[in-house]
Amino acid sequence: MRNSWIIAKREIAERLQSKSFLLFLFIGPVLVLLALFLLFQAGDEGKSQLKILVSDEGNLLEGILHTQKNSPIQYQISRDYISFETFRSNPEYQQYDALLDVNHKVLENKMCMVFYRDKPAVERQIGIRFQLEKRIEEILVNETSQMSISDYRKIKQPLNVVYRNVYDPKQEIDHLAGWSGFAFGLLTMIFIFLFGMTILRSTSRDKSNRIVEVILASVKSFHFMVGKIVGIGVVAFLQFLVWTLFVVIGLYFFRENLFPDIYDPANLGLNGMGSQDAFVAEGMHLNKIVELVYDRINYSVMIPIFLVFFTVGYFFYAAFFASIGASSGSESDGQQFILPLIGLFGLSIYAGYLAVQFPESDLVTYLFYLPFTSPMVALVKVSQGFAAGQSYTLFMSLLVLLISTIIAVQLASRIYKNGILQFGHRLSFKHFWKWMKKI
Amino acid sequence: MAILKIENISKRFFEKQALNDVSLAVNSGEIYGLLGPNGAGKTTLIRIINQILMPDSGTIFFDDEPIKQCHLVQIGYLPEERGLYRSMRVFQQLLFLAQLRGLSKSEATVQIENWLAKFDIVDWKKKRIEELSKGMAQKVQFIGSVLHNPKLLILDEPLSGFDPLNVELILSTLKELKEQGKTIILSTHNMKSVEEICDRAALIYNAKKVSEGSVLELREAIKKGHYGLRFKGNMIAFVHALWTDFELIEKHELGKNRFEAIVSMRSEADFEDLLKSMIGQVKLEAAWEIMPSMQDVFLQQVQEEDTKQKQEA
Repeated sequence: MRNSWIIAKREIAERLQSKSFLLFLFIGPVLVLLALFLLFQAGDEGKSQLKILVSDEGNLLEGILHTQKNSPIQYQISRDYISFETFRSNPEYQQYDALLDVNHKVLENKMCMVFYRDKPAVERQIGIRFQLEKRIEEILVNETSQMSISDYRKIKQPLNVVYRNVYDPKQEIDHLAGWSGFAFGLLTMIFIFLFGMTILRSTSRDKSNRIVEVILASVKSFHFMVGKIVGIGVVAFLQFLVWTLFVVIGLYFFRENLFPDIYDPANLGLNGMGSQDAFVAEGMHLNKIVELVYDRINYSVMIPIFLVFFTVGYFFYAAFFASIGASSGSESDGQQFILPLIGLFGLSIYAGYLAVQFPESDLVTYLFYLPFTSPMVALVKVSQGFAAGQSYTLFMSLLVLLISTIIAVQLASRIYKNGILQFGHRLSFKHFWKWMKKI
Repeated sequence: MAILKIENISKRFFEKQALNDVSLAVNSGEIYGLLGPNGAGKTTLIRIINQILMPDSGTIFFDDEPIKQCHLVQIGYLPEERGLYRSMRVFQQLLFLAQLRGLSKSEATVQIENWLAKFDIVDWKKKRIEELSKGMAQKVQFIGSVLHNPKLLILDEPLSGFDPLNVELILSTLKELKEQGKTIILSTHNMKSVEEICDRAALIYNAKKVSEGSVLELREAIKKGHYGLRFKGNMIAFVHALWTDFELIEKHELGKNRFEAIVSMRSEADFEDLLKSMIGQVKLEAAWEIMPSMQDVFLQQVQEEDTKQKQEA
């Protein structure tokens, strides 16, 4: 294996000395951070004008909760109880963006529900909460104490306003965690594909410039192939580490310097509210992407599992890329054989999407064990969490992938050995079959 | 003593028989020519020796042991199709090749410095291969095949692409290596170089070994008993002198009454009789036995094999 490592070191050095690699090494994370920043911002977008129907059966807010002229939030108070089901389906209420359910016990339990059709922008959510909280406070203070309202606000507890999707009021569908796994899986597949293509091109170039014959006079074809895969894999790993480092630093910078400013109520003109820290924290939760990146991803679990599936998955796919590179008759030959691999990558990504949407379906279970798709599906599954006693399935999936990788590498080494010194032919499936059979 | 013994090697690539029961032995310290037309099977045999390909049957012995991967560090190989990493610098490229052949970084550095100095190309050390001409790159590749100080050096067409000056440099280097006790297998179509430096040679044709022997033996085996004479005098007198024992094959007039002629023997007459018959007839300037070249050996053996195979068919 000494020679494999010499070959690996050469591959690493070649890439590290390449200007395009170094450029991408640093531009890549900048692009990722830029994309995340835009997603954070996009995740905050919502309707600027809100029309809210207030279900106030206790008649607490009549004449109190006013709609200011030119205010972005318009309230319509109804003294009838309106259930969220009625609000959701009744044509009469379709003109309203949200239902504010002020139950008659609000003074005791200090909880209101807002059932929205489209999630309001953070600024609007804060506005609703702010206006409602103030009105409720005023009622409470007047009815129950001799305190002035300003004294009360000094000692008050925050009011919880819970936002619920009107179509999923119990919040049973939680795709957010799954999407974090999908993001990791997508990253895995992108890295595998990019560096798989590097293996293919590198092998093909070694063939066309004939260096391969000199190397094979010192190194077994299997060791040559392994050296190449390991060398390029180390570069991929290094790139991942650098990207991770930059992205983590960038996300820390975002949180410390950008987003507190954006969601700080002080900047929204809401000074005077109590418990500002808790309020800011609540505000942060209102942006899905921010919540996904900062709160939902369990990095301590995801990163080790990502690395394991990335490594094994990389070797699995690398065997195919190396086979195609070694079998090609010329540097441009073999391009048509990349298409099936692209198809498999597409299938993997679709499998990840299915795993997010239908985590318990039979198809997803099969795709969880299929070595072509398991690096993607496994990461989605991990992010969603396993039911008690089911975590062994992750190890089963990894075992299947590992065994498949060993078989794929063995078959690839045969194709590699028999095909690497064949030149000038036009590659067909017949060649693969012929060289795979030949020991 | 044979450093390399090849016994009954056969190799088939699907429909094509590349080698058919080939056996030969290469003695330690000699330069051995491996001759044959394109597609005869020479490169396949070389690849089998280098363990790049495995034979279907037969055995190769290196220093009396069946050849294994571990023996490859004692073999240097320059393939016919030259190949180097184009973006690598000369020093890095040579270091990479030397390390693959088992040298440590420090050993390799010493050897690289020595060889670059020997070939007077120290200035190229930091150049990328893509900046070099074809001939320059070939020099680098030649160094790559010898810098680990191998016992056996296998060179496939080492002279192709070189200008006459560099051909001389490579040939003199090969002679030096031979003097140092290295064994060299030279696969080439350059028959002049075979005559010049090879001790023994084998001809491979249509996957079989057709002949093997010392270069002199191979040439003598097909000599026709022709002699050359350069003389001053009368051509009529010269022809008279030949009389019935010799036959004039060819003549060239070199100047006024100065000729060069090729004659063959008739009956039992020999070279001494020829010289005696000339005395008093013409003024002899030179006389020599005409030996066939390795080119002649090559062509004649290929033709004979062709005829034989046609008859068998």
